[in-house]
Amino acid sequence: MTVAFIGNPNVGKTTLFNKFAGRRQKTSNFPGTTQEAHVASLDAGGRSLSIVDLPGIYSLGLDQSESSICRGVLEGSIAPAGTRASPPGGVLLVLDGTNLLRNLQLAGEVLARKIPTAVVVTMADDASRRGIHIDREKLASHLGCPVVLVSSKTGRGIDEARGLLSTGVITESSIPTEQSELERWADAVYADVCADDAPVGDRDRLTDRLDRAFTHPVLGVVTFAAIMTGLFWVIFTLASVPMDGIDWFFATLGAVVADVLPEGPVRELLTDGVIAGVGGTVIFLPQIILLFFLIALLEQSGYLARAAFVIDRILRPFGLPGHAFVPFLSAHACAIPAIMSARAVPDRRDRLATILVVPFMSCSARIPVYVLLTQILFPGSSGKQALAFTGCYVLGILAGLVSAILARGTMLRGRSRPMALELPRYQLPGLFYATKQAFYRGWLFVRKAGTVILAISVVLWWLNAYPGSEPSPVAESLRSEAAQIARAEPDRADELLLRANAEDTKFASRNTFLGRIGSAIQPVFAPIGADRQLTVGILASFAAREVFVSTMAVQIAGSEDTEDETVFEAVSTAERDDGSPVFTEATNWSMLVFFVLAIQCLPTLVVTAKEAGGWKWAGLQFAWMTGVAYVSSLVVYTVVTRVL
Amino acid sequence: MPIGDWQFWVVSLAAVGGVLVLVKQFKPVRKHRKTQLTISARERDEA
Amino acid sequence: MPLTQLSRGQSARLESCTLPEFESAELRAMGLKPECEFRVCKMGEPCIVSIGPGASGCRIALSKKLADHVHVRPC
Repeated sequence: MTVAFIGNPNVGKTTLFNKFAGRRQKTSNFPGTTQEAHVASLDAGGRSLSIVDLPGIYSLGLDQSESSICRGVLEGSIAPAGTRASPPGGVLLVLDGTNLLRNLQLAGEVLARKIPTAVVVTMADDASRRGIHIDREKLASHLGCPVVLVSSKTGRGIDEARGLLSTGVITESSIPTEQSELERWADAVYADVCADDAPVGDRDRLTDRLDRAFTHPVLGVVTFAAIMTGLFWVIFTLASVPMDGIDWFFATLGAVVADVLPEGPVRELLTDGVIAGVGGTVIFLPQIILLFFLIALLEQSGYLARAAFVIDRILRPFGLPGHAFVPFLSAHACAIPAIMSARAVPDRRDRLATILVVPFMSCSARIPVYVLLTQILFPGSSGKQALAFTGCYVLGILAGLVSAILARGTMLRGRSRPMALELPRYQLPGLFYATKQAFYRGWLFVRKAGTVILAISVVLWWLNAYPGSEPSPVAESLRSEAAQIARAEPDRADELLLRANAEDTKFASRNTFLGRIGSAIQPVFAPIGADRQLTVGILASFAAREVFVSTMAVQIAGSEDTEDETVFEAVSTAERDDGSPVFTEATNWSMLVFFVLAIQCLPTLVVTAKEAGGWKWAGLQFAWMTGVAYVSSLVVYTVVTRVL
Repeated sequence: MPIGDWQFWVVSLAAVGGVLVLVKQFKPVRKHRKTQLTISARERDEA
Repeated sequence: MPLTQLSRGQSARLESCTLPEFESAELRAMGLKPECEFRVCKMGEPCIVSIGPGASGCRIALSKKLADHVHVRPC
């Protein structure tokens, strides 16, 4: 038998579900984020049940995706993926004891559907502390089904509620279906079961004051800026430790594999393809986990719903809603979880606009590229490097906002929906849930991005390894020269041999499928200052942009280790096929702009297609971002070439 | 291409597997879209 | 009178909403139903009201654009 959990947002429905199911799941204070259906099986009262957590809704009759999901589940026309669609055998109605009047309306709507129902009133302790006394017997007789009062904090009533899961009854009370009659019914039931005469207390006045401060036009923005600065500071300082650890782990793993396996393509695939590719992705995991941990804390504290209004004021002129705040924030770590979190944006057009522009934010995968290019641009001047770095972030945000205006003015035209949100109570966030939530998000990231990145790394490695080539003529002559002077000048001979190896790698990279594709496509990127090697870098980094650095290193220096001073030097002083330098100032600026604006991330496109509901959106995103990047780079390249 | 090397065939097989994984990413999108369409169609009928 | 003309701390009852159907339905489901009593916690953008009898109830924040179309009667 299936039992569906239904209730208003923020009533503790998901918390209760977690208590029964013992499964990782999202608890949130930001109204409307539980849009996924969560399912669990358990034994209750000697029967095996499957329980479904439905999205929190205010009414079954609204024209919203959450409401239509709930309607569909109750009618048996929609079911969570993997389960058969049939009307549920029972409903667990979850009502908030501190806000019973409004909750009773939804209760009436659900009971009128005549499905076996049991009622749980949450936050019972909280209610009685506030001077609200609920008469359980009277409530049960009005609703015509069993009622239990629970408190998730103390655990009171939880076991009893569990027993009710399979013992719901079809109500015999007559409940009106017309809305104003339903409202009158709710008023009457409330007046009879609830004794509530406490006046507005100190706690409400404190909440008033906090609300005013957090949504204040000046103070609110300052608070928000301070909290965000703190958030990013924590993320970048704390995450660097585990990131170094992960880096070390994959480097060691690669070394061990290289030691154990005999030389050959399989070993290279494992070390250069699989381990380097997966390692390059997993390295961002600490940042993502930390970010979602902190967001979960902010959500639970109740601050996020207030911050949404601060952001709304900033984003609204660009046609984006305040709900887009979490996606915009998380996009600075990685666009993939950001696009997934755009589910919280209620309006379809708002959501699509958010998904389309979010990848313009500078994600952490762009950092290695920014580091390389700013170092080449301003060697030895860390102040200028930092300035250029910040400029990249600002450019990304601006491009995203301008694109949002354009999208909302053309294909996503329409009045953008003004915001109305319930402001949840302020409370101390639970570390336990935030931790669970963060690791759950991290796991989703590893699973979604990991498979795609792994596949891309393997394919790219193959394209970059075949068809093999003979040793290059230059390397051959260097080797014979080295053999002649081996006795007289052994040091110089070693140096020549090293150069010969590097020549071989360069020569080979020109002759691989990837290198040939690069030569064929190079004319396309020539106007923005790219030669064959940079073209390959751009193409390879389409899979994942951080690959750019290692691809350049492999092609130019024949070594992937960019930490190495000499390799960095080799990249920055690399020559084109005609002998002129690869990284002229103009090329450098043009590449930097290109990497800020171009999408260069296949997994993001896959996620966009899934979340937006079609490949046309991913195609549009790719075409738009690449187009903007190309044109901007072209302008930058031309201007810098002319002026300097 | 080192056709005679067995290792070449192993890594090529892996690459083909990679391509298949990428192609497979297209499938759920189509399904997802279909469910969305059916939901909205049903709601239109109800209205 | 529109909700936006009330001042902070004032209590009022809701008379009607002149908003598109789906938006007024949403506000109504969130607790802003005809004749409900509420207290104004903050004016401006957003406008925050605390709905509900006594100490129970909920807080709803409305952007000014919505609040302009919510008509109330001070009490």
